[in-house]
Amino acid sequence: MSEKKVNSTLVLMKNISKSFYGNKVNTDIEFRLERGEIHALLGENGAGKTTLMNMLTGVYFPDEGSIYFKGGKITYNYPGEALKIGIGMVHQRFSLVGNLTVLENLILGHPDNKFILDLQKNRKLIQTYMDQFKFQVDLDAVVDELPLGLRQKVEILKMLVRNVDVLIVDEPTTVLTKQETDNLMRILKEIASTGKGIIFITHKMAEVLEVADKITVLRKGILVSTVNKTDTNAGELARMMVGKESELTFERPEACLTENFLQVKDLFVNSNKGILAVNNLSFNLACGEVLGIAGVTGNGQIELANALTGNREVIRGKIIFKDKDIAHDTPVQRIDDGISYVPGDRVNVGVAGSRSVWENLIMKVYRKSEFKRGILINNKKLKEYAEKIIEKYNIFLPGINLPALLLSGGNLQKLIIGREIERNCDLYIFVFPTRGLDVGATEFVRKSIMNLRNEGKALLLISGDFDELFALSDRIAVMYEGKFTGVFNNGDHSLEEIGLMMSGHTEAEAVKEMSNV
Amino acid sequence: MFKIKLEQKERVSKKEDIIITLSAIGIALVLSGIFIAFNGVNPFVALWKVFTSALGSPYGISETLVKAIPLIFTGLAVGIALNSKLWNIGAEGQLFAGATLATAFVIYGPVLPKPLEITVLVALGAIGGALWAAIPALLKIKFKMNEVISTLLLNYVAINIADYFLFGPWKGKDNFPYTPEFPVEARFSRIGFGRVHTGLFLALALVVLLYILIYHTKTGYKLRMTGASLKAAKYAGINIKKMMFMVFLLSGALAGLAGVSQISGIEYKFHQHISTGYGYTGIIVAWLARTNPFIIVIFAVFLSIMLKGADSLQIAMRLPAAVGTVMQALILFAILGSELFKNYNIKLIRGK
Amino acid sequence: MTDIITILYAAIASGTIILYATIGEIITERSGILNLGVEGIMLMGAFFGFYVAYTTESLLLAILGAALIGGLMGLIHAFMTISLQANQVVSGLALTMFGTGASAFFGVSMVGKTLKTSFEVISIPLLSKIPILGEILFKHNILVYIAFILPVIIWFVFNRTKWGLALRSSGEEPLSSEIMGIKVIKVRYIATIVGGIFIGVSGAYLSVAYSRLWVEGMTSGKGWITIALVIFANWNPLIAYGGAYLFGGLTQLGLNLQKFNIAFPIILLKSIPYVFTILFLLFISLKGKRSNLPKALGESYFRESRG
Repeated sequence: MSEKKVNSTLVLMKNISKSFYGNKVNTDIEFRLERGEIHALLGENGAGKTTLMNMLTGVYFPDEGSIYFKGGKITYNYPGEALKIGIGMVHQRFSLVGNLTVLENLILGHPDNKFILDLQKNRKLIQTYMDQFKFQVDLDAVVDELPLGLRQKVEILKMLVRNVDVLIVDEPTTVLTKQETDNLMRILKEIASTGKGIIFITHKMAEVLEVADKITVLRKGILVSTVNKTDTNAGELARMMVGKESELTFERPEACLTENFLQVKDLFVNSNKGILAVNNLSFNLACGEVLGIAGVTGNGQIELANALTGNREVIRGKIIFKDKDIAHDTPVQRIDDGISYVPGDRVNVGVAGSRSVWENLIMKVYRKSEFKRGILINNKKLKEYAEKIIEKYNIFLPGINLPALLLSGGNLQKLIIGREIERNCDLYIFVFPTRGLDVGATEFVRKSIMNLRNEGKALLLISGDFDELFALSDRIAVMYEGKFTGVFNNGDHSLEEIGLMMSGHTEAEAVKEMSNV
Repeated sequence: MFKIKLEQKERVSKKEDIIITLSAIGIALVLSGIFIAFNGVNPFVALWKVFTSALGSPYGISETLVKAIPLIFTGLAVGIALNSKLWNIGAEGQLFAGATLATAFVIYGPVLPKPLEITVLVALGAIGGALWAAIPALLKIKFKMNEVISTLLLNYVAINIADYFLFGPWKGKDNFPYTPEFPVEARFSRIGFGRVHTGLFLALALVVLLYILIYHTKTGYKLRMTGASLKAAKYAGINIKKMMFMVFLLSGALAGLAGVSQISGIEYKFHQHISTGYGYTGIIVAWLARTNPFIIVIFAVFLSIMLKGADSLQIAMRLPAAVGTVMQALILFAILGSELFKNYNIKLIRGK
Repeated sequence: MTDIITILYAAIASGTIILYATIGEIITERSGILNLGVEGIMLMGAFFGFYVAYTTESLLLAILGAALIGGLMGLIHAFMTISLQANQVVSGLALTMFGTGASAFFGVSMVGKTLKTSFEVISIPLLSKIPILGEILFKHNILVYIAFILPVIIWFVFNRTKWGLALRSSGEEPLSSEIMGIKVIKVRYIATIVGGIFIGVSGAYLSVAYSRLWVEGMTSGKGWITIALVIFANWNPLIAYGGAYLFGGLTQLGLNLQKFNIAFPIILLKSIPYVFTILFLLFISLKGKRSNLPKALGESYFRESRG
């Protein structure tokens, strides 16, 4: 009995832990993959799924724990080794060489290559794979000209040509149409049936339930559970992904009466790839209100935030703020209008890291007349202004003239939030404000948000942390593929229902689904 | 078996930075010594001569300063672009463009009283350089064309256009590509120290002005932020495209001033050899000085010492003048190579 | 008519200088390394080739010597930019400065000297008898003939061999290539050294075969033209023919301007390669047409070595 087990276990990862810059990203994880099995790795963004797989493929080293492949322990020396022993990963960001043809990409670096490439022989070989798994790609097409769905097929073919035993696919359906997704599922099942093991990283429950044999759920770097598909359902998975209810509560007095302080009407915004990221979105925001926006990263939240701040073009639609349509105003105009943005990317967007702390603190106020000195700016006054903020918000730093990147995550966030609060704006947009912060900094951020709300400001809180969303929001909206699948008062829906809405169910569907459980 | 591991340093202290840079320069001088020894000349004597000839006599110092003036201009030109992470390899062409435009006025325009004439020439020099830099600026902003390539290519076109005039309508009576001598009104005055001319004051004034611009104005703040992080600058509401365009124009203008400074300050005419690669050497000055205007002056003078010293070595020790270029190149290599040691700790690890 | 034949003949001869260098730089840039030191390497190749030819009277040794120097300079650039992570633009410019200075420095002794041996003109039997074309193409020296077939060979290596595949992918996606098993660092080192070899040979051709003398700075900017021509050729060795001989022709035209009473200022023809290249780049970005610009060109590839 045990011999059979040893033969059929392809991968075993035991007690795996990993930290980045003091942040624990994986804590004591155990993961097992059998032959012929499709094992889904399910979890929110930032749950640690990709990091775990990057350790399996040698891109990172675990701080603790061991990895076994086909019964033998493995330690990697360089990135190409995983492929050599038979573990291949198709990354979220495709790693094909754009200027080469499909055929060239497939044979690139193959150990069997002779000096003068035998293209004929390789063509034949690849054709047999394509026939076996029933999908065709034009081998002479240049990769840069292929649509994304086809590129993914090439990535998978690449792994098959190298005879991998373990195929890892990371969020493969993000850029696929429904039809392409169905196709992909079929292909993965075919591949598994030949005895290979597949690890499927995703946050989409529907796909997991369709194609996986086993499901491992990660949350905030911790293993929640490993279950068989047949033993679980959507609701349970949602709860595992998303976590428990929190105990945090805040007082929530009436702060303001203007209902339509911010009105977003029929908003359309593109993503970097040219597809619609915000898809006909409409909502209102009152002053003195926190609207929490829940949703898996990549469903248009950042594009929405950038459209509101003027850093992304509005294709169609209106943004009415203080009775004026600002949809086509420049970023500077919106800063002057009283819109404040606390970005998710603190280090690269929130500050210019290589410049000094004080220069970063005056980022939005340097144009004000009180800091003028003729045609020059009054650096002394500006530094005083910066020092006041540092003192008021208790920012710990090595020196006001030293680069901002020297600050710890928590202090950097204090810098940014302090800077924005002191501007006395009317609309505040927070994106993942407590990501990666310690308890103290997190408390500061949340208290600040509540204070702003109680002073009558309008706030949008885009976050993946449900403790936070439940504690701070007056209303909650769930964003999925550029739309709100639900907008409701905080407390109207359970975590499970919200989890389902995050995967595409509408409010009604989610309630129905949960009542069936 | 040993393997080398690179570990990013937490912070580079200024002291460490200076020590490493000086060590690099030291190594470069030693290597230069080897070159010099090759020609049968005692390297120590030669290196000593470089410094004494450039700095040991009033004449030497004045000639060093003369060479430093255009280098300050081009160093500032490349420096201000590099500050915003833009490579202006076209300073040489912009230098010629400025000189061409200014010369055109001298030849076709009226002769104005000296203060006015000089002002017009300086303005035209700046405008000529700025216009020439506007081309790669627009190409980059509108079409995302890499500015290294476009500025480089345009150097040749600018020099070619200058050649057209020099071999054509502006050529001298003896059919050589030299314009006639400039009238007195079109010449920068000497300051009474050898051939050093008032262009030096202009250059130093610009250093101060640029410093004030960058560190004490709104525009300067915007430039600093744009140069540090495009994303953060956008977030702060700064119009990045406008900043980029401004930087290019400013850069071109400064290089154009180098051109005017040469024709009106030293040569008193326009010809093909008003620049001995000042546009390119300016890149080195800017890079070595990490774009700080005051340090640019220091390195401009430093490189001029090399150039002047090399000239003297040629005369006194019959060493080819090119020894100066070789020394500059070696110093540049040494400092380039030392960057790694400034940013990373090198660790040797045992194991396979 | 004979004038045109003479000019075209001279175009081939003079274009060959740049053709060698362009092929070399294409190889280097395709691996992702930008080498702006072409002018300096060419000058060193020209000087050293001439020096060896003069002292040993062996043409073969002269070419080999130039190849050696070119390769060494390529190695320096590779070491600086790959192992020491130095900025590629600055390193290339330093290399040009160094080559310009060192060649002038050492070359003093060679100024005014003449070579006793020279590359003979070899008329290809039969082919050289073809009217007009025969005169233009088939009465050159061996180095020109080698340059005729070199781009084709390189094209074949690029597209049909294991090495070429590794080269083209290293310049586009170094990390992905590494994961697939390509040793990107090794590829870039070799590409930069080989590029240097070809550039060195181009310099030797200039001083030993073409001009048969040494003068300081004798390349007069041909190194920079090469860099422009690489872009003009879209990093494709086959298009390099066109650019190199076109430039050769334009230079010749410029030198013989008296023979043609054309009003257009011939001197401005010299700008054509540069303006062409800029317009070409513009055209590409407007049409979104595929440029072969290696995606990773000029970017430093950093890999923390594993112990």
